[in-house]
Amino acid sequence: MEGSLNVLGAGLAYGLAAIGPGLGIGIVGGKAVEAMARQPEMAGKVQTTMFIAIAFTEALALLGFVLALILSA
Amino acid sequence: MFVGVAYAAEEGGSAISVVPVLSEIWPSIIAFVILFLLLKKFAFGPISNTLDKRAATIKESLEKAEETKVEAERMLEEYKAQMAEARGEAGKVIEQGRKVAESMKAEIVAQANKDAESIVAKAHEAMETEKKAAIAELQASVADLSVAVAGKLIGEKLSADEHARLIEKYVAEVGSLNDN
Amino acid sequence: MDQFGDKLASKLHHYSVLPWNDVYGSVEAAEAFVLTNYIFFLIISFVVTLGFMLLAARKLDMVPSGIGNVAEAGYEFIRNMCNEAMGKEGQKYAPFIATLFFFILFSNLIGLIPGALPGTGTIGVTATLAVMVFVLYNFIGFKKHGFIGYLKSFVPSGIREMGWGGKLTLGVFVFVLEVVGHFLRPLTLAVRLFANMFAGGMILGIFGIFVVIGVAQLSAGGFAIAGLSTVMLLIMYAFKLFVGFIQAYVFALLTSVYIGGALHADEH
Repeated sequence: MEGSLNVLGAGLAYGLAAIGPGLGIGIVGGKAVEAMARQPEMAGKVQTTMFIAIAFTEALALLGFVLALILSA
Repeated sequence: MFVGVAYAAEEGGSAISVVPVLSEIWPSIIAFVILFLLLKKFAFGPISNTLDKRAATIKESLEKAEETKVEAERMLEEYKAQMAEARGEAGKVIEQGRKVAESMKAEIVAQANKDAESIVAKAHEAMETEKKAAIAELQASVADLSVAVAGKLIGEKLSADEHARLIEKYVAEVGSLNDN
Repeated sequence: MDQFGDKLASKLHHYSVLPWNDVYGSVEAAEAFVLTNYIFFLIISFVVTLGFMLLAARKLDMVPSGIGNVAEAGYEFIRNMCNEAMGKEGQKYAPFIATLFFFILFSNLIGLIPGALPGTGTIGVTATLAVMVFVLYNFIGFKKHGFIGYLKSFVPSGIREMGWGGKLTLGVFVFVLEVVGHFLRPLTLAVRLFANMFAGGMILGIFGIFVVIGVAQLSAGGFAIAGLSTVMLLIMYAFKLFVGFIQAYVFALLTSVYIGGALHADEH
């Protein structure tokens, strides 16, 4: 019983943790496309910055992933 | 011990560990460090050198090309200037030639006019003298003829004085004719 | 406790293919010296990376061609990235970041071969690399700005110019947040790479199993499932190829950004 609750918690932890970063990465990507379309000559710089921003946003989802793994142990 | 190893499935599944296992740490460190040292010395060094050298070569050739272009442009400019100069010179020469020709023409024409005039004058002179000679001859022959004619017509009736007077008179008449 | 140890040993043994792992009798020895599948393929990646780069370095020419050109393009890409993220000072870290990039890239790509695993598909490897990066960039920061200077740079200059009240409240708060953030960096670096590679392998494995099960059914539905799974497998395969490149790039990019941040810690 305790184990199944753990697994449920793990699923919830990762699922909930993925909501925010999912939205965030979508916004980052969309804005980056906008920026690249507006200024194609800056595309390289925008892309680099986009990857950095995505990496920072992603961190939250990754924490959720780790938590899920720990909980489901 | 902390629950360090999580399992995807309790039985038979592959293990997912969120805490690194020691047997995976030291091989990665050793592999990475050896790789870093070897690659830095034998791969990235030469690659970096090649990239730099190539960049330098390309820059140099571009500079050389730019130089050559500038030189070519300068030479073209020079040739153009020379061409224009030559053209100007040629025009000048032609102009000069024309001038010389014109002046020569004028000279020749003037000379010709002068010659013609002198020829005409000489001809006039010659004609005059010939006319005078002819008139003188004519006068002489007219006097003789008229004396002969008069003698034949009048016979012996005229004296020597009257002869002389008549002759004078005719000569004077002929002379006045000649004067006209 | 002992039970857990036995379990661990059996698991490690389970996911290790090599026969000589049986030599280790004790749990501690198994934990420390067992050659896991991931490490086995990591060593293969190590050999392939080394071989590729050394071969490429021998094929260098003023006119780029073939394998040398590939390595050059990769290295130049990393060098430009370093230049952008760290400035002129960062040039000397380019070999380090390029090693990281190529090592991770080849590990990821080797994981695409059916039957093989990505060396980066286990937390042990990625965490090691991430901690190395963490130690390196903090070492660079401390070396450049001094111990106190580097710690001071965690707090923005706006707060540093405030009075003591502001410094003690907001400053300490921001400092603690920054420190936590710094410790999260290696964690996210490690987990990002591990999770992407591991999950990719899992997805490929699941679709692969679907294909096998579907074909084994010997029925119309089974073949339909197998066909659909094959299409999905191919799509995921292409996606994983892309992810392999992107994750190697992101790891290298973040490393250079972190080192750049440590180098220019005093500028904000």
